[in-house]
Amino acid sequence: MLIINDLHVLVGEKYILQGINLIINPGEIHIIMGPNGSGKSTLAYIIAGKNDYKIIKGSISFEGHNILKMSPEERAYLGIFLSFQYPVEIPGVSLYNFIKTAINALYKARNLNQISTSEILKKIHKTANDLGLDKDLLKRSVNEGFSGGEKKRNEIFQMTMLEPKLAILDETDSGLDIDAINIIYKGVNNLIKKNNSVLIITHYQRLLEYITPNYVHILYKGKIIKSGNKNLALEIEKKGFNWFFKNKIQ
Amino acid sequence: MKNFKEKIIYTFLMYKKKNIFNSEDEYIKNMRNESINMINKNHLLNEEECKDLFEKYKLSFNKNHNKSFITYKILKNYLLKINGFRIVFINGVYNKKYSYINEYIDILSNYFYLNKNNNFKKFYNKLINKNNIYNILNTAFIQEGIYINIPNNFIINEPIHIIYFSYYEHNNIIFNTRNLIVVGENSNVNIIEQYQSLNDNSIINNSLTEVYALSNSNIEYFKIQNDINSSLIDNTFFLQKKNSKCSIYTFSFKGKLIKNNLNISQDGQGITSYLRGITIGKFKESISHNTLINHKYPLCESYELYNNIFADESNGIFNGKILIHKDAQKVNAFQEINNIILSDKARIKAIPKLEIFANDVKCSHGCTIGPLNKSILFYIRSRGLSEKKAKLLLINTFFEENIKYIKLYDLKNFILYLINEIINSINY
Ligand SMILES: Nc1ncnc2c1ncn2[C@@H]1O[C@H](COP(=O)(O)OP(=O)(O)O)[C@@H](O)[C@H]1O
Ligand SMILES: [Mg+2]
Repeated sequence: MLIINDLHVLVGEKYILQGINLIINPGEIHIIMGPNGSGKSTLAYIIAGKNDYKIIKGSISFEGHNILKMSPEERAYLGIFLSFQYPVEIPGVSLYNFIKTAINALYKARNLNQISTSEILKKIHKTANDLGLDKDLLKRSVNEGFSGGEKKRNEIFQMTMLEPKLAILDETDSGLDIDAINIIYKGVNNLIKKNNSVLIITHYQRLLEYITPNYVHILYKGKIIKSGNKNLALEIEKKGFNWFFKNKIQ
Repeated sequence: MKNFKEKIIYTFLMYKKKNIFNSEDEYIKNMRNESINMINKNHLLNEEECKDLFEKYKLSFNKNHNKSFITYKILKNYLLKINGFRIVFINGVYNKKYSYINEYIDILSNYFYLNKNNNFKKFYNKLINKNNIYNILNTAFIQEGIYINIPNNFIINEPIHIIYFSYYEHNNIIFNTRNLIVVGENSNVNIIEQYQSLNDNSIINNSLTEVYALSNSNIEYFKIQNDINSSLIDNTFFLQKKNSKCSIYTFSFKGKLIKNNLNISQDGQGITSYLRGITIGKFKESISHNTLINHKYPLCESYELYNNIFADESNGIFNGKILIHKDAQKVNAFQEINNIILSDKARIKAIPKLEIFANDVKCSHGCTIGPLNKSILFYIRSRGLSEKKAKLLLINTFFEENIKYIKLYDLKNFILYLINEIINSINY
């Protein structure tokens, strides 16, 4: 589904991603862990289509499409979704209107029959209910004045509404209490049930109490230095990232 | 070839020789003469800008108004589909047939000849800036004055739509229109003002409006500048008496060149003035706003918010001056100018100027200039909205702040419609 092949990326003069290889198949959950500054968000942004980067080598294909040439919206049409590490505030646009517009845009681009406003409304309310998203937030401007937790919930809410084929969760669990972690679990589960895939970027073990990944990868200084299963995450917990780095280069 | 100054004086003397001004009230005659003398003596015409603007143009003073081919069917396209009153002018002359007004609204056209009505003399030409060439030119060559008098205690919710149609057979005409609007004590009115040319000959509309808001009155004034063919020099002066409230909206949507000179003078306590503007510059349009808020009395307020976008090779200038006199204590005065630049070639210059002589006031100004926020655009697009849709969404919300207080539902929708039509056609 997603194939990243030998991806090298510069931001300005800085060599951030130094040869990333990653394959994600339908229905899989991947976790990427790594210290701050190792390039996790950069990787997420590049998959989603942010164009602040210089790609000097490599390719990304999604369901057979070479997506590096595509705009962010074209990638969204294909089914790629990014839950932002730092969700952006959009003053003056209500969350309700925003999600409605997004759904209509996706349906139109995919040549699907438009769904009626009342149907969207129903789905919005059901999803908000399921995820424990405060209904008042729907009427407010997207993320404006939302607490940190509310912003993250909102990302999961949007993800659930848009039902992507590949969702990338960039530290969505950071700074959340157990209740909120449970919401991520629900959101991820909803996707996996339908054979969609999830790429989770996280610092924490505790997500693993809920979610069982197919793969865990360690991203360190722009390279995936080790991949494994759930147990790898536990090892990281014990030994720290540096241990893996040193043992790899020895 | 004559320079413009000689041209003006020559034209004036020619009209005089033809006895065109003969039957006018002495008061008006004197004002014309005084203005021409000022032009004669003064260096006002050395202003570069004025020279550029007027070199190619000819002053119009056309007494032949037979424009019977301009039928209602033609005009209808431009009339707002809004319930209310309508005051129609064709080439500066009041057209009773197409107007629709309430019997209480006093409209005096051609009052220059009505010696017996002296009321207008209390107001006419009292607020203008006598050092400004556009004002003086207007006073010298104004062809027919319009005096709209709203009586005291007059409260109407339907708007009064004043629309100036122009149709000139020739290109490069300067055309002067003049309004005097007096809103009586305790009265409450909505006024919409619009200029519309009916063919694509290039004209300059040099308009001068004096508005008096008497005590406790409430005026919502909407300027819809949406005429692609003509240029507009809008000189507007408000004099507000105690406890009056005026909201002045300036929607600069289309026009070859638009120059707004908006002056607010607060003449009493407890006055509030709102100035709200939306500017959409595109192509090679040149749009400027000069605002002056003159706080002379204590316990008054002014709020100024202009949200502007500039695309293509358009350019804008904003000069915003707030003057707070020594005795004007406990005044709140705020000014905020936001500009979004949509192309590398668009230009905007913003010059706020605060002159504060009182010590107990709250006064601030803010100005932003920049492109649309890239991080927000990326976030929106990552959810599936196209680049254009994302930009339209941001621009619409950018303008929302300046529209949301419009109480006239139909008018608000019409403004939204115009905005959408224009921003949809812009190059991004
Ligand atoms: N726009 C940018 N300009 C300059 N440096 C950047 C930019 N974005 C990211 N970086 C740098 O790239 C490296 C990787 O950042 P990031 O991908 O955010 O790391 P992570 O998400 O793993 O913490 C960091 O050193 C960061 O400072
Ligand atoms: Mg990060």
